[in-house]
Amino acid sequence: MKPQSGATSCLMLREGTIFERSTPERKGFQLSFPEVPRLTPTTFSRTEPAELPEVAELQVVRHFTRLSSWNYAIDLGTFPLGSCTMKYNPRINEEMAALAGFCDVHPELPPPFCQGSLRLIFQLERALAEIVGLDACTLQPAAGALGEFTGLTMVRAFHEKHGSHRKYVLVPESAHGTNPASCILAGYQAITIKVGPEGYMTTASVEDAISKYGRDIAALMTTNPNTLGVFEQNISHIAELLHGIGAQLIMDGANMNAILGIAKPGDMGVDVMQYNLHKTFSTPHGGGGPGAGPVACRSHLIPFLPNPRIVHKAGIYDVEYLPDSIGKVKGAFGNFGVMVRALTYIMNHGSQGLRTVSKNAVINANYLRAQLQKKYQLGTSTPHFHECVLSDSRQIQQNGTKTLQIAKALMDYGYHPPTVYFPLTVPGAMLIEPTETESLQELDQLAEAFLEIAARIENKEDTFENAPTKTFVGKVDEVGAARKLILSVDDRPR
Amino acid sequence: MPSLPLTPDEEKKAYQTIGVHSFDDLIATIPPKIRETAQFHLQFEPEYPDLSDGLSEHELRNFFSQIANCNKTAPEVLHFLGGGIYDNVIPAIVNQLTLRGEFLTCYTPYQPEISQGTLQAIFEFQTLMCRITGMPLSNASMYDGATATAEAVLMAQRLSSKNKNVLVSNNILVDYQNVIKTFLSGQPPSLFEVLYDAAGMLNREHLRKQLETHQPCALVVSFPNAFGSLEDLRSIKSELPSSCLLIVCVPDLSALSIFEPPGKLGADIVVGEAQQLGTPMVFGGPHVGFFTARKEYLRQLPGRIVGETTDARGNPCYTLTLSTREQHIRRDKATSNICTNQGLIALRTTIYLSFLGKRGFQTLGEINYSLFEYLRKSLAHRGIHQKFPKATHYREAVFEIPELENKFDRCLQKNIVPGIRLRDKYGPDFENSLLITVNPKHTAKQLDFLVESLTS
Amino acid sequence: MASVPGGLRYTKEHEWVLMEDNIATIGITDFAQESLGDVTYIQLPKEGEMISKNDPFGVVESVKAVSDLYSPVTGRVIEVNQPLLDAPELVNQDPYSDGWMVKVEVKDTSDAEDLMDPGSYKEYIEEKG
Repeated sequence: MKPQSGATSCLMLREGTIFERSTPERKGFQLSFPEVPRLTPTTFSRTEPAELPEVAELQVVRHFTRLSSWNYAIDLGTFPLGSCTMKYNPRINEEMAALAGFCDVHPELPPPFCQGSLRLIFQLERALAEIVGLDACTLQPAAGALGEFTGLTMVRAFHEKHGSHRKYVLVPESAHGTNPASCILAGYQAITIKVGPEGYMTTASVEDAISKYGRDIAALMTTNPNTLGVFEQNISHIAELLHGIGAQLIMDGANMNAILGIAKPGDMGVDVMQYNLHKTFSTPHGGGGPGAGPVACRSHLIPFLPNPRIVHKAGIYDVEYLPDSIGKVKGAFGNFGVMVRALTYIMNHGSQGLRTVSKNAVINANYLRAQLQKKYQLGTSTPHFHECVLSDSRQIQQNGTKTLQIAKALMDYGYHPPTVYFPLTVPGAMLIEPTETESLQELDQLAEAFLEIAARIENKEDTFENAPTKTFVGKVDEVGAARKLILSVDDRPR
Repeated sequence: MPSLPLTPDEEKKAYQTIGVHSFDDLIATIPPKIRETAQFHLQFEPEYPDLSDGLSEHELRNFFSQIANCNKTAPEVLHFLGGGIYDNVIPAIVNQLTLRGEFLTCYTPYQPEISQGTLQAIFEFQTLMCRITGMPLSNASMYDGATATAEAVLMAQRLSSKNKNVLVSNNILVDYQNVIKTFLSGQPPSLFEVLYDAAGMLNREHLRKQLETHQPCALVVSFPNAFGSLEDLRSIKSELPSSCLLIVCVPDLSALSIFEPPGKLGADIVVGEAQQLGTPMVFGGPHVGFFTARKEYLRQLPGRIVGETTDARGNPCYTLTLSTREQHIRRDKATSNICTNQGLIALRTTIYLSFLGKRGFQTLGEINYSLFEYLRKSLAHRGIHQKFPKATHYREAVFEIPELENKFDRCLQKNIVPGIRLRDKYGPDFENSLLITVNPKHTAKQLDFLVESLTS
Repeated sequence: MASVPGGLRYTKEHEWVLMEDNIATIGITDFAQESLGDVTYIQLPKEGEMISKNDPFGVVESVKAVSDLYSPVTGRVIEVNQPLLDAPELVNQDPYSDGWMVKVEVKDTSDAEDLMDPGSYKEYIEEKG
């Protein structure tokens, strides 16, 4: 199969919005009315019913099935989206999460009635803490960004408990945009520090920041391996420098998929970290959520973890409230359904299996890099882990083709583009993360597509200005969308 | 026992292509001291004290079924729980359609050309939320009701250049109050309570006092409030100066099927939880928050937004728009640090509401309302009364039950969870108070059984 | 090559200012509109508001970028280009005439004197390149 057998060579069916399928008085889902007198309210009663569509079951099924066919997905093909870890989502996870004994549980059930759910959270927290070499973990944050905020807020609570009111969080320039945004929300100013020429932080840059800001530094927040896919080799020394002024080392575990069983953040001097069950532990991305962003920490930060904590005493699982806790960051206990999937994944692999996951992810990324560097400039020559960064510098020189066009062209070959223009430290960056679930044959095909695009650029045959051309919709007018905002059916011009 | 594609032969081939001898060469940049201690051990007592090799699907099914069975659920248990999270009947197609790999395993729709399915579904979600709340503007969804409410408070603060103070009625759900507190804990104190009055409603006298003292930029109330009572939003709005936004967090979106939407009652930002419309309770998540507002606040809206446009061939299509508000571009100036919405759950909501339809949605509201009225009358008949009887209720209310502790335990022994005890959440005034909630799965007989159990 | 008309003064943040007596007309340069791409939204202060030299007074957005507008002068906004708010593409089409943004009544007419003249600005953007 050639990769060109691309995205839109099959029958695709057009479809308006569900509102256009509506016909007055057509009956949809039927609820049975209980045997009680039917009443309607007399105060505040709604005068005009909400205009929901009126469609029958098959129309709904057809509508959403057609919509689904317009999506690219892991189940369809390779998804080399750097820093997002789009790996295959084993279906046993879905089956376990769909068990009625997990779904039909209200979080206000008294603990004796929900021992199963409490046990699952307790044991998953223990497993996640052990995997990263830290002492405890909370599963309350709904996603990575909320996890970052949770970690930062715990750090603030820790400092304040010790009478220290600090102002700054150091963030390397290669960081995810979420990191500085989370710092602001947590009441800190983010100070950007330079990344060294090899693609990782130097101790000198941290020493500089320390000499400038001293004990006003609350923490340093870094991703490791970082967003270039490079290991922060000075991490232990940097941790010592920070601890020397009472500051904390926060790790963004977005790239945990590279180091399961290969390196523990706890052994690097990390005090608190957040990671993503929807990346490393294979819970489905679902088109942007739901995720889960657990936070693990060292013992000195345990008192500040979000409430409630789940405890196991005398054979019974129960909830407990800590007096110094930062409070609640989300309703109830977090995204429990996501936790079931992640625990299934972890137990499906076992400790050896998880190490193999990272090992194969690193092998795959380097295998792909070895092929792509024939035609593309590497963003750094330092060894990569589970992802690699290319730059468009050669292609710009050859005929002015930029990363954005290369990304769009890949769609015509049947692939999701890599992450583009990130990290910011590499001009025209393409961040590529194949993950361990792709086979070498699939990587060969992906490389072939990349290299053919490069060859067409080199031979000045194409600049891919109009790509993609084979997708279900053509190039989308994003400027028009932003200038003339139509954000609901009712915004359309009449 | 995972299924990974790389064979031992391929591993060797890969090393050759890369130009290394072994895996250790690939990870040589990790300091040896860190590498030495990297192996971890997985304990799942009592069944698996050291899980090294991983379980088969068969073993996983056994293990997880056994854990799930440690939860007591329907039909063994009959519950009357609510307080923001509600049981409901979910049509089969909701699960079936959301399990499609093209929805389940796709990514955030940054590449519109290959994400039209997700984008159009979100556009439909936005339309549905606007039509139900009566607001003109909706985003693509939030984590849940509590975080959506906290984001609404942050948005109100961004909209106000001078005063950042916010009043929160202390009869909104305690979880929501606590999440707002945590979200605002990084800035100077700006949250102030408005107490509720003897009827459990927003205390107008205290509101006036707090308005004068704190000159707030927003007031947070709910509709209905945490005691199940519907606040008079229109008259609350009339108390507020024009500089103070009314934020309504709606613990119960289904109430808007039969009650006037906040958009028509003067609300400026309407946010809350949409879980009960197509998503199971799942011990509290994943659920889905919605976020709607007046049009003029567009630029300060948090989260993702989908807009309709055309493609190069002139066909209508969809794309994420206004993304310059977001963290990946704005970094520390972003309107929010959030990256995800709750895509798959918002999809569930969209499918559910599409299938339920205009009439079905009204019927849903009427079922809850009628069940509650039936229960209220039956309890009153047996001498159990509401703590706050004057207000209009939709589907839940606080009942005063003498010797609640005993009655509650006796119910549990019969596998009935009669409601949520409010003492731990709202203080000693609620010693004998029980929040009882009905849902569309209940039958008249089950309500009779509850009344019997609480009164005998 | 981006155009740099004579008779204007330029900031490092790529605003231009035209001084006529005590009235300053402010906009963004051709170089700025080119780097931003298609402008989709412009936020400007209201008439009567005070703005200060080197402080942000508005925002200009394209699909992929957003940038604050920094005032080259201190004074009171006396006129805002209303048509521009409804048709932000004017900034792309004609940054120096139809794409002007605000007119400001300045107290100190020497406010703009320390800004770059057309020659220095040309050099400045060539360096940025």
